[in-house]
Amino acid sequence: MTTGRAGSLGAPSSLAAGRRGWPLAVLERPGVHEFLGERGANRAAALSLLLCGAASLPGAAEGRLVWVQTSAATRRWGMPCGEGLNAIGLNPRNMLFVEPENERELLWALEQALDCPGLLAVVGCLPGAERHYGFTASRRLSLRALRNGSRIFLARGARIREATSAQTRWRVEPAPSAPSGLAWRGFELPGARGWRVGLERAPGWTPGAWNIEWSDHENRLRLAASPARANPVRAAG
Amino acid sequence: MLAERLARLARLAQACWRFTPRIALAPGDSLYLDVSGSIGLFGGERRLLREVLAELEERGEAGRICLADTPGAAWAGTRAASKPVAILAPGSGLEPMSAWPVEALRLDSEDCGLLRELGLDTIGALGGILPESLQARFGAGTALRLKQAAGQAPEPLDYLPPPRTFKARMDFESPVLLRQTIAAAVAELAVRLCDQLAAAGMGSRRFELRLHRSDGKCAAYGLRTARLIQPAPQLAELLDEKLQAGAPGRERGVGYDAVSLVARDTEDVMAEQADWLSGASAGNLKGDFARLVDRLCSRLGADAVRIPTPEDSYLPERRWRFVSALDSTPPEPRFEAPHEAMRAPLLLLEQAEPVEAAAAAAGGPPAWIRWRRKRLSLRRAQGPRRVLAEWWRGEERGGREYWLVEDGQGRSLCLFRGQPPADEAHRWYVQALAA
Repeated sequence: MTTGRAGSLGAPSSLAAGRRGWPLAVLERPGVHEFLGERGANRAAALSLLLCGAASLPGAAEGRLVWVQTSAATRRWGMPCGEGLNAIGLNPRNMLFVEPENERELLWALEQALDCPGLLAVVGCLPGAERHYGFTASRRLSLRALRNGSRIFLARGARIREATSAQTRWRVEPAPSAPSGLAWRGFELPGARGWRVGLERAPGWTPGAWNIEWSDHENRLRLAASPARANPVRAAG
Repeated sequence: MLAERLARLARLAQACWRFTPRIALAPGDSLYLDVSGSIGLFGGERRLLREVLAELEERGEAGRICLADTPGAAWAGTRAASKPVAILAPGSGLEPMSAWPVEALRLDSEDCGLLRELGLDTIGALGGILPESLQARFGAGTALRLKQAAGQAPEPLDYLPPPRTFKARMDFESPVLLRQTIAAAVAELAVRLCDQLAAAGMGSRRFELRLHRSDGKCAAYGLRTARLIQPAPQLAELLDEKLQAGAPGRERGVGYDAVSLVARDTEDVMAEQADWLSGASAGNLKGDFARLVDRLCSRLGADAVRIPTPEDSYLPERRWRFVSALDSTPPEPRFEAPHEAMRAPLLLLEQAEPVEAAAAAAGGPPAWIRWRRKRLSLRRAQGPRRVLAEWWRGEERGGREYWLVEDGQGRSLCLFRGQPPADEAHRWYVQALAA
């Protein structure tokens, strides 16, 4: 891949314009990126968003992904689906799926993965109720990530016990997919995948909220075409 | 050319040591395996042959196998039997071979030509002649080969020397209790073993560490690695992690007398490198990534570290099987997904979960479902995509109708409805999230 650092995420013009607007380019930076979603549907939204985020990174088609989740998480949220990965431009054969038994081992596995150079991203799915992930654990992860220039996407619950040293923090909710205008027997056909994301933290960026969607044609995340449509914020996850 | 063929046979022989320690080279790219002592270990003749065949297939060799009373009969069977895998009944002598050509007796071409000229085409025809006159008319060689095939004359074989074992052991003067001392001993053994392997030009992906307790018991720790060759410090590190995970008992103050480390399934490093150069390496994981896999596997277990592998199935839960990273084959490039009318989900549940659903018109989706104690009103839907039951796997006909649905808040799911006769109740299931 010869795409530059400012590559496929976000227009360079928005970078120059006082760092406002759609900031997905920050996902290319090394460090810890947290995706907060309540249990249930919002967690599924957070996981699908970070997968699509990884698929938007430069070099996604050949990049290796290390996915770590506990077996309890597998029972609850399932595991990445090969068909789906393939459809968004990731190679399922390049994913290493690691399934430790508990959160402590999960954090250990994440640290090991961060030491491996050349990965597209490390993904961690924390349990709904975190017991060990806190300031210290996040500091360890982010130090390793920054030292090795690797990035880690963490899906976590929305209830935060203590501050963490993550580089970015996003709050994710599902959003109705883009209207297709086609209906059949009273059901409208679903359009592109959509999310409502709030940026709570990213050094140098103005927090804000956006409606974003996955574009099958561009193979990356982008701002939703019609941000004005009604959105269920604060859904009872 | 000849050297290359011999090397290939020798490698095959090495892979067959697990079937028997008595292996000899045979004429014409063949191996004799004396399995008389090991049939019981494998649960019968057929199972043993199946294992041998699997070994051949795994190495990409197309082979023919025959199990018989004598090396001569077995050799004949691999050349002349109608099936690629044949078993000649014990004690049947020349009888099953009677229709086979005389060439199957390991005769030289001159002898064969003579026999053919006289119209003696088959082993059966030859067997009808009295042994004395056979020897007088066609020479001692022909008579001997016939007798050896029938089991009437002995046939000593030159068995290959057994493979070298690679093992290092350290005995303590008095029982050791301290974990650190054991770790230091393991590090030393790793160095010794790696030196041995390196000197012999061998590598291994399977190790066994044994802690011999002073009460006579023994704790064994198996270790599998993704790489064939590893530096001693990394091997020591992996073993140490195994020990930590296993937490060998300091129970009741029983110490350890000795520690030993064995390399199992050693392989020729040169062969591996040759494979790698030709681009057909079995150990696909290289460098830093292989090291990561090794570390994760040794602490979490090989089954906890997996890579999706495509399977020949249309059912989402079977389409990708998660295979242990240590067993996985080299990754293929991503295939361009054909444009599907229905998009693929991103999170697949381990098992489809049955849901309560509103009554739906035949061929349509329900207006709501109740899943995990929540009611979702469905606003959008796409489908149905029909997937047939895989009757070739012995499943009852019926199949599934898949729907991609979304509720008013944007939560999307992949649902399917079972079809009769396999599912008379016509139930709805959730199979995937983030559809």
